Amino acid sequence: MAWLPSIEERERGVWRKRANARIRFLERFGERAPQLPRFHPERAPGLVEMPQLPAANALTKAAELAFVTDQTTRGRELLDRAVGHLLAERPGNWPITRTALLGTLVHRVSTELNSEGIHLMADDLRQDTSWYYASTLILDRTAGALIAAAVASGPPERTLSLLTQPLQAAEDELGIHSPERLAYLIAAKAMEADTLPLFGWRRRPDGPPGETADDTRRHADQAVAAFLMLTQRYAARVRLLTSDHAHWGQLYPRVPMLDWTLLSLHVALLRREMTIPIRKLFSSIQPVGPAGALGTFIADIASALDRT
Amino acid sequence: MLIQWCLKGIAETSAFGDLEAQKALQDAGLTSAWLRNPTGRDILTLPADSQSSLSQSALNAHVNSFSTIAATTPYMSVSAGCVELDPGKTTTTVYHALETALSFATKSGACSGYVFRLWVLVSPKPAPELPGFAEEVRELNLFRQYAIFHDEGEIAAKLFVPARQIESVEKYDCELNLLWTHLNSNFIPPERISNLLEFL
Repeated sequence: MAWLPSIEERERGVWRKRANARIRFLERFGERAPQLPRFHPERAPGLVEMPQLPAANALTKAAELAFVTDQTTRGRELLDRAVGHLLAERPGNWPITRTALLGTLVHRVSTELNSEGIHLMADDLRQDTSWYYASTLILDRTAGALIAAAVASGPPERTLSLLTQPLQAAEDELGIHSPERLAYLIAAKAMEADTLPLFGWRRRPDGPPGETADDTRRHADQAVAAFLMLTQRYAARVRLLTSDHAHWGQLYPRVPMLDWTLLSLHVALLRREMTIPIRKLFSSIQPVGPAGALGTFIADIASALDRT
Repeated sequence: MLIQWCLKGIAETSAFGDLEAQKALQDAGLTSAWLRNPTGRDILTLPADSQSSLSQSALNAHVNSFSTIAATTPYMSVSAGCVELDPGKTTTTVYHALETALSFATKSGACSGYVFRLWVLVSPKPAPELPGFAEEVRELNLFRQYAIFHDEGEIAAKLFVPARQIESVEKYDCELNLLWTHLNSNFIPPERISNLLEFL
């Protein structure tokens, strides 16, 4: 069962009914949006930069509603369609973080972060964004999501070499202020980077992350603690959402109900073969209370996504 | 003054159908509940009556307690879309006017309805007591009181929107299929009153 824990059992019938009505509306809007006059590039030239984006937004919201009301298969299908709309934009126009995060969940996009920049790959298409052009201000806010997408895309030594390879000395005149170094610093300080020991990488006390020589409990402990903190953060977010009774009651939350970044990290864990000691440690340490229930909820969705 | 394009979604009911939708473009315009339910008022007392009905408290009730004044509000909500901040995820979310209008027009996919495309004048400062221009409720720099449904991107028009300011009406079914579009042959584009002047 994968009901959002904040939805009490006695309310689930009503929630399911309302969610299905809203999902239907969002589905229809997602289907129609690219052709509606307001969003059609030929009918509104100059006004529309990314005509597929409203459809992707609507289908993502629909997928989220499906996930929180224990309709994981339907949610996955809606998410796949949302990603389809994102990828229908020409490469160069893909919204970076959203395409990386959502695309990796449905196995359609692979993300790599290296010293050159952010690389998104979908079949034969790719979008490369150099650190010279990626705003560090935006990266500061989205680094966690990109790290999650990267570790879910494959082994971090390949997909996250920005953090897992020793930082080369910048040869250009910018020196320590080079875009690559700034990107490394921003990514390294994201809380999601602290989960890397669970994927086989730990932060060396004297510098950048390096491959673990062994699965020492101390390093895995820190990574699990980071996971717990991320789950607590999600729990705080859900508490805030439920306090907005007007929107919550209508299943119309102003901001996403699902923590897609945390979900990606859980999917990444499933896709990586954890060593037995780490797996045991991770299973034994679970947050209590609402955060614990949310952690189980996210893990259940990740399992369902990974099975499809 | 600003000129703002907006959308208005109205569900199809026994009281509002194809005839009424097309008449709105011909001459009737779109009217507030206050005008549609005169209850003892007549045209001669309209200026005095409207003066007493338009107020900050009436606007507050319209925005945050609509169900209590739905039958008597002198304001009429139209949508221009909205951007919301998400501090938790440090991103922004765009709420498109068309999605809001369609949600109202079809009651979230439960019935067919109409979406009107129109323009209104918007004051750069709040003046809920004055008729003739709309209030940009979605603008938090102007309307600082908390709006429960801020994400609907509300612009509150007053009393009525003249037919000549309504460019078109589209009808959608409950599956959001566009059934038909009617254009207003008497539509006056907003460029007529913009501050972009041609040389002599």
